[in-house]
Amino acid sequence: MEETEKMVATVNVQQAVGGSDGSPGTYNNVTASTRLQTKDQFAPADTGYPIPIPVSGFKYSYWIHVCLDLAGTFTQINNVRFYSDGAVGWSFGTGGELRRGNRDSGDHGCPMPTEYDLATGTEADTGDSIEDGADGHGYYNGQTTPTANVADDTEGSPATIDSTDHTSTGKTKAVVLQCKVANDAVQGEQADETLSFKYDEI
Amino acid sequence: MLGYCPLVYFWIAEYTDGSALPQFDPETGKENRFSEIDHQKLHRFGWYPFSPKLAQQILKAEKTVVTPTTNPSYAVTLEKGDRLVAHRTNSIKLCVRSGGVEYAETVYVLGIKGKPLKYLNENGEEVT
Repeated sequence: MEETEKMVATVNVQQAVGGSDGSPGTYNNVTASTRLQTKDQFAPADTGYPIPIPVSGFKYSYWIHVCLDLAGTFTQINNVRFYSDGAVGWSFGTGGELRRGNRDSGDHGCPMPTEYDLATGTEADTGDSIEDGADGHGYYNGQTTPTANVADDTEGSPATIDSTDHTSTGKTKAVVLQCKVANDAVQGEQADETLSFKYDEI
Repeated sequence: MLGYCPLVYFWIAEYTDGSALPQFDPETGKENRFSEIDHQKLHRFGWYPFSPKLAQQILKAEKTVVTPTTNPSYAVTLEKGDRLVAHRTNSIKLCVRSGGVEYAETVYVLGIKGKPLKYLNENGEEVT
């Protein structure tokens, strides 16, 4: 069946990695899972880059950009929202969290590819914090509140990622996710966690 | 794999002059776009279930699968100045670490801006 024959959108979740600022290397369809690691790569099965427990302070995963890829034929897609079940059940330690890039006003999603910011850090050790003034994510680190706890994004109060009216195929803005881990976190592979996107289509 | 969730409802826009624009032409199965609706003379708008015959026509004309049901239909009548709210809300669950991507049930939304909306699941039941 050809894409152009459908009057229903085909929507895939994609993770962008690599490339350079403003130009992602690849967009990868997330079909099985995704994983927050200490390396900028799309490798859901690779457990070789865990987030170490810090002696003090915090360690971070590399941030990841996750967007929706809009294909097929549709009149309009908009109002892309993102939320958790309200309780991310991972051991982050005191002050740790699963966070997302946050804007002081407007959509919280990162425009793709223009504002894509290549994830950086020290592989197998820590990613740079989204909030870092020098090495953080350029679309967020100048905001008054550059990150928000994903656990606070719920179905009843989701984060608006993209309110743009999309009338043709392409990418939505991306939610930018990062784990922040404290020294009293519990080591080990964490449980599965479900995050949700919701969007309106006509 | 289809790669999309088959529709269970289609829309019909009825105008003040007695004419109507259906999402799918009942004779040919060809689709009319939502953007073709003349909202200035919109009198009534509704979600309607597919008959088996229309589903066949759409498959033939648009090569798209839709699901015929006996779901109840829902419509809203608009007064002058009312603004229609009508769309489908889709959800995708992303399982982090392992698991997969799950496409949840589509919710059909209908109403008038500023007033309570109806949210309909694929069984034609109102949900919150």
